[in-house]
Amino acid sequence: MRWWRPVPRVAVVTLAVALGGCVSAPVGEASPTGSGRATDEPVPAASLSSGIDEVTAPRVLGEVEVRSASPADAEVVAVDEPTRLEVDALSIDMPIESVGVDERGGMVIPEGALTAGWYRFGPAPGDPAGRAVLAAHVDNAQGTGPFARLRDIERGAAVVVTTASGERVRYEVVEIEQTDKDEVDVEAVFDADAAPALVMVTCGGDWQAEVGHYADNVIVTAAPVDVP
Amino acid sequence: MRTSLTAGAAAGTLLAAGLAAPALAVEDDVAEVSVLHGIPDTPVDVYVDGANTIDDFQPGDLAGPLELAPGTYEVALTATDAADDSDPVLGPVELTVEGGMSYTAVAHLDADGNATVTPFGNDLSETAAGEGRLTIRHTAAAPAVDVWADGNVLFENLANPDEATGDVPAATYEAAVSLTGETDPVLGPTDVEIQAGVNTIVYAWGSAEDGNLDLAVQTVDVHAAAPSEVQAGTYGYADQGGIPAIAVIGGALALAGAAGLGLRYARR
Repeated sequence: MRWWRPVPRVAVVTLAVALGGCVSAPVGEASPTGSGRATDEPVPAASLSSGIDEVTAPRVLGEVEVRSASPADAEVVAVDEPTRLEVDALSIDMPIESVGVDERGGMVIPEGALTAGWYRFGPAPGDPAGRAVLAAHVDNAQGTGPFARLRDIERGAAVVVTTASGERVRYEVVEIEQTDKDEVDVEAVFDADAAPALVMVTCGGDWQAEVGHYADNVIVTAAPVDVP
Repeated sequence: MRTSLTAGAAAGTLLAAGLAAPALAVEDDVAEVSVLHGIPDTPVDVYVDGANTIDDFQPGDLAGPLELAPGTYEVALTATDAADDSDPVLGPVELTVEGGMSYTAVAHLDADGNATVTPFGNDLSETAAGEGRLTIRHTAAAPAVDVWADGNVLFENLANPDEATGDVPAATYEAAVSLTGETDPVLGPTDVEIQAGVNTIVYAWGSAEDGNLDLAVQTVDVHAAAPSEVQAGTYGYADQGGIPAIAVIGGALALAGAAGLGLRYARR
């Protein structure tokens, strides 16, 4: 989430031309070019704090965003967490809890199979960009859970996520994938910079009893539906 | 290049590993440069290559980031009523920046209270999944300090103009600064939120002698790795492979169990 405005590209081009042929030096180098280095003497504060502000030169770099850096003025990132998932076509209506990563670096999946986990370090449903990821166990000790039905979903199926604030974010299924876990590109599944989407993930394929895992991930992608 | 999963390839192939490159925090052909004003009581104009770029820049404020072409720039600070940068109060200094990098140039007091400019390179490397980065920079006219997080010393004996950095689980930490070896905070405690995939940079600035020590905070987006895996099944009830006899019985039980669970769930 960026708090700045990009500098217009044209300004950068202007500078690049003006500075053509510059040599590069080690990162973080600063060297005095004036006759006297100002660090040798304290800034005469009294003489600087008065006077009338004037625009004295063209701003070749365009507008520069300036803000207070005080911790008291820090932007508080309020996240409207998802709390409920509904997929009518599959009779799915389940609660969502926020989850992080386990000690192996994998996404935490809620206990049992009746609750979906939302990856809280990624985008949230309703965010302007990025893929919000929900995952649930395909089964529990009693049998298969709601997400076991995900592999039967069809394109166009309606998906609704309700958030803590009560907002209902609507999606439509656009893609159903079943991929060997070894080949799943998790960076793409969790891509925080991609177009906004809801991604529902569970397991599928052959049960590999010797390792206690399924061979595949079932990955259903849904795109936001604009409600007029 | 970002690869969309929905770009229409055959099922099972478009998720193949390695298709999506991580998004760059800063594009290769530009350097992002922020400027922090950490000299108390001294508003300035900031000139870059002779142009008034940040007008009437106030202490405690952060400007930018400017997107600059890689190269060397001359930076000078003047009084706010100066007509040009011929009579700077600080500088000029040359700043050399490389493409794809992030920098913060800090105008601040050195340990003895003299004004100076220190350019810091901001670490843009990717964090692990669920982790953020905390960077602390000592830019105050004050002795060396210890930095505390949630009651423990996180960084020891940090002196002006040094920095310390480390990756920590994303969370809100109670941060405080004490003189080295002491426990009473000279700054804080204050809550600092560390977000996953973000480098949160905290500056101590001002002057201990003048009693105006303060904190400044800057955040720089880096990128957090995705979780390594999604292991979302633990019992084998949803097996799609060949079905041994024992599993058929299990499957029947599973159906019964699922039905019962469905009912229980629906009643919630």
